[in-house]
Order: sequence, then C-alpha cells, then structure tokens
Amino acid sequence: MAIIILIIIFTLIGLVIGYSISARRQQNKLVPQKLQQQDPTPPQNHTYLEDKIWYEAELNFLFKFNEKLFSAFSFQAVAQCIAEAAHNFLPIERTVLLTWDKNSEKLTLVCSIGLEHDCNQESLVLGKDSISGFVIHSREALVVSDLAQEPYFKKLKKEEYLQKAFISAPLIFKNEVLGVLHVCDKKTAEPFTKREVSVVMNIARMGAITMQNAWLHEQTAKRAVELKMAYDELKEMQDKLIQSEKLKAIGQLASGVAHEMRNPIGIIMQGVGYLEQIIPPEAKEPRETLSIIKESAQRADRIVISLLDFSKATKLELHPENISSILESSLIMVKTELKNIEVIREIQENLPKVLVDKNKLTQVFINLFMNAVHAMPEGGKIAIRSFVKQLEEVNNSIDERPGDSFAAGEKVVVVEVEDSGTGISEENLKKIFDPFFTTKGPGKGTGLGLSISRNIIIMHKGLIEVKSQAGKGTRIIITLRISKEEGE
Amino acid sequence: MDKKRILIIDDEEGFCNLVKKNIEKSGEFEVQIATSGEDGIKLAREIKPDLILLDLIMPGMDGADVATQLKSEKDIKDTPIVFLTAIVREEEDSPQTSLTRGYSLLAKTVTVGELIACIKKNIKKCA
Repeated sequence: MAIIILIIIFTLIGLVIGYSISARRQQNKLVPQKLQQQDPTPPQNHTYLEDKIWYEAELNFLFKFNEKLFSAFSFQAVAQCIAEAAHNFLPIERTVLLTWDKNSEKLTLVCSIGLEHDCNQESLVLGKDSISGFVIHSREALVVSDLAQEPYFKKLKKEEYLQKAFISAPLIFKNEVLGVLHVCDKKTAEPFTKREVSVVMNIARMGAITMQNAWLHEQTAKRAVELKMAYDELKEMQDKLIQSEKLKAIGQLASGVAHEMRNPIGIIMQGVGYLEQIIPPEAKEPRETLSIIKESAQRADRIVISLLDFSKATKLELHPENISSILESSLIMVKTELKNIEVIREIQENLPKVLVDKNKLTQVFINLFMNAVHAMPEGGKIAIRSFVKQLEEVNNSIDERPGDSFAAGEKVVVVEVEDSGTGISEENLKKIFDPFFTTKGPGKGTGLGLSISRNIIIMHKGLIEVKSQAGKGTRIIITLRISKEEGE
Repeated sequence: MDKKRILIIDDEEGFCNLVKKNIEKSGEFEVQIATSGEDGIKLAREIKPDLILLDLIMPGMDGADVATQLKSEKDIKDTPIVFLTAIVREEEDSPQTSLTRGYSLLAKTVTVGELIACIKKNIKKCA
C-alpha cells in the first residue's frame, strides 16, 4: 500500500515537474510571441508556478521595453515606443497616447495604434467632462470592463476610441501629470486582468520618466538653437554698434584733422602762388615742379573737404521733393562721365513726393553714379530704378533713434542704382561704408563717398544697403520716407 | 591811386607772410599783419584798414570775438571783414548767423587769384 502511495506521489511530482518545464518553455517564448501579436492572455486560475511564469514574462517584457525606451531619443519616438509596447503585449484593438499641457490645459493626441482614421497630433481641448480629463484630474488608473454599464461615465464626453473595455493610465513623473495612455478593447471577451492592469501601469510609469527626459532633451536642444540665434543676433548688433561708434569717432576726429591740415595746405597754396608770380614763364622746370606741388596740395585739400563733409552735422533743409527729378538732375551733372555707359531708367510714374534735402540727396546720387562709372572702366549699364514699396519687415539701422525706424507695412520710396561693373568681394563688402576704404587707385578716390552718402541717408532717417557680387555688379538700395503731405 | 590797406589777423605767421607778399605783389594793396586777436584789434584802431582778413579759429580771442569787438567800435564798425577759415569748402557767403552775418567766408586753401578777387569784391560792396 505504502509502495502504491509512493508511486502515486512520484507520478504526481513527475507530472507537476513536466508541466512546469513545458510552461517554462512556453514562458520563454512568451515575450517574443506577444510582440508578434499572439494571444498573450495568461491563465485565469493562477497557481504559484503560473504566477512565477507570468512575472518572469512581465519582467522580461519590461526589460526589453526599457531597452527600447532608452534607445528612443525624440519625444515622438518615445510616445510611439510606449503605445507600441502596450499594443504588442496585450490582446487589444486600440492604443492611444495623449499628452497634457497644464498651462494651456490641452490634451494632444501624440500617438495612436488601431484607430480607423489617423488623428495623430490632433489637439483636443480638455474638459473635466472627458474620460481623459477625469483620469488626468483623478491621477489614478481607470479600468473599465464595459463602458455602457458605467453610469458615471455616461455624463462624460465620449472619446471615440473608448468604446467598451479599456484601461486608462495617467503618465505621472514627479507628481506632474504628463499625459494619459488608453489601452482599449480586448480582442477576447474577458475583462482585463489585474496582471494586465499592472503591465499597463508599469508601461505608464517607465514611459513617463523617459517622456519627461525626452521632452527636457528637446527643450534643451530648442533652447540651444534659440540661444545660438540670440547670440548671432547680438553679435551682429555689436558689430553694427562698433561700426557706428567707429564712424562717429572718425567723424569727430575728421573735423579736427581737417582744420589742422588746412592751415599748412593754405601756406603751401600761398607759397605756390607767390613762386608762380616770381618765377619767369621761360623757367620750365621750376614751373613744372611748382605745378606738381600745386596739384598735390589741391588733392590734399579735396580729401580735407571730403572729411569736412563727412563730419559736418549740417542741418537738413527738408522739403517734399520729386525723387525722379532729383535723379535726372544728378544724372545731368555726371553726363560727361557716362560716355560708354547705357543708362536704363525704370522709374515708376507718379511717385509720391519724399521729404528730403535736395542738395544732399543729389550729392548721394552723384556719388553712386560716379562709383558705378568707376566700376565699369570698359563701359556697361547703369539701371536706375525707383518705386513705391510696402515694407514687409524692417531691418533697422543701428544709428536710428527710437521712433526713427520704419514700421512693417509702411509705404516707402525705394531708389536702386545697379551697375554691371566689377562688383565687390564679400570681404570688401563689409568695409564698404568705412571712411577711407577705397578700391580705386591712388588719387582716384578719397574713400569717403559712401561714408558721406550713408551719413546723409541716416540723417534722412532712411536706409542704405549694398548688394554685390564680385564680377557681376553692384546694387545700392536706398529707402526713403514718403512726405506726409502726400496724404498717406 | 592810394593803395588799399588790408589787415590780416591770423595766428599762422607763415601764412600771413605769404598772403602779404602775394597781395602786395599786385601793387594795389598794402598789408599789415597781427598774429593774435588782441593785437589785431589794436592795429585796426590804429591803421583803420579798408578790409580785414580774419582767421576764425585762433587761440585766445577767436575770430568771432574779434569781429564782435570791431563791430562795437564806432570808427571801424563798417570795415568789411573776410573770414579766412579752414572749415569751409571754398568761398561762400556766410549764413545768417550772429557771428559772421553778412561777411564772406573764405577757405584758407584759396589760390592767390581767388583771394584778390574776393578782397576786391568786398571792398567794392562796402564802398
């Protein structure tokens, strides 16, 4: 009898061990099988061994989920990873992940699987009357077996993906609700088990940490870009400011230098005048030498005059003027220089009048025309354009005082002088408004023309810009205010 | 015909000497020199010139101060003044400012011909 009992006991032990090994084999395949979307439903009547198998499977799954999560760098990739994990591990129809922005009080659908239509990135306005809103505010997971049987939820706004059975788990990190994960409608008729709820909760917990990290990472990257942009902008402003201060300092220095220079030049000129009177006309060599001295003194004087123009804080005599007639009269003054040059006029008819100092602006235009002529020693084309433009955005000059800047949407008169000449290299373009910067040969330019032009345009509260490409030509763009008398 | 008396008031002695030589060379003028504003006023009272060439920027009493003083003195208040200065482009009539009202401004770098023409024009204007 005892032997029979022993045999029965050993047989039972053998059966249990055999089942255990078989179950373990199954369990080892469990996670990959689940991930391949096979039915993962664990046995309902749990034994210790079944529990152990399930926990091992869950642990294994969560380990792999964790690995996947940490390899996802973007916020969207993390959201996708969370939704996919829940969808693949559980036998469900749909998974929806929404993020919550407490400042705007908006829920945004960031990822969904199994929805009939793609509504990712669709922004939903949260109300306490929605089930997601309920989860967000209660901060607790919600497990529903049959939505139709829950009288409380009848009052809530129906979210289309929450139809019958679902688990809604809030994503919480450091007491902050980041979103909500909905796992909806089991493929089998059974309700969600505690184990399934536990898995969803773990996915939500781990997912929340990584989501927060991904969000922080993205915010840091965004900040870095913003900082870089702010730095670049600041650098540009600083360069402009240094340039502006440099020009002001040169202006102040210029008037002092001009005065000191002109006294000795005056003496040279008087000395030359004296010698001219006493050296007889037949003494050719002394007279030629004198002529060279005189020309050089006059050249030095022209430079000083340019310096004075540059530094003079002359008051403008502003009157409403017709820009096309100023352009025409300036052209007449350089007519003799335009021998091999074709002048193309593209001047809009009936341009509104501009509030300018006619003489100063003529000085600017003559300067621009002469620069164009010098840039085309073999001849070429000068296009002179003028038109009305409505400003879209404004790049303010650093010299402007508050209230001087143009407003976006303001109508202005634009003058363009474009030549087909040698152009300006990118390197030289940066120095083009610097006093004494010239690419013309010795004695041909003082390097003050564009600096003076710039000062005059700034005095008019206008803008002057240069666009140029070496070998292709240069375009100067001047923006001027329309006279208020035009009834703008 | 009597030579016109010209007074040059300028702190640049070398400039004054050369201008004197050049103007006198024409045979029409007799030139006296003062190298400071104060000396210039004294000399003006003494010789009662037909025209004064006055530097605008000088140490001590500058051209504007000298002109103001001369304008206040009965005997010389109508004497024409030509301001010689380094800070104008070329000859220009002065704008209606309190300092140089009605007088000519002349760049120091003028040629001898231009200078004599300007002197003659201003003497004639005030004759």
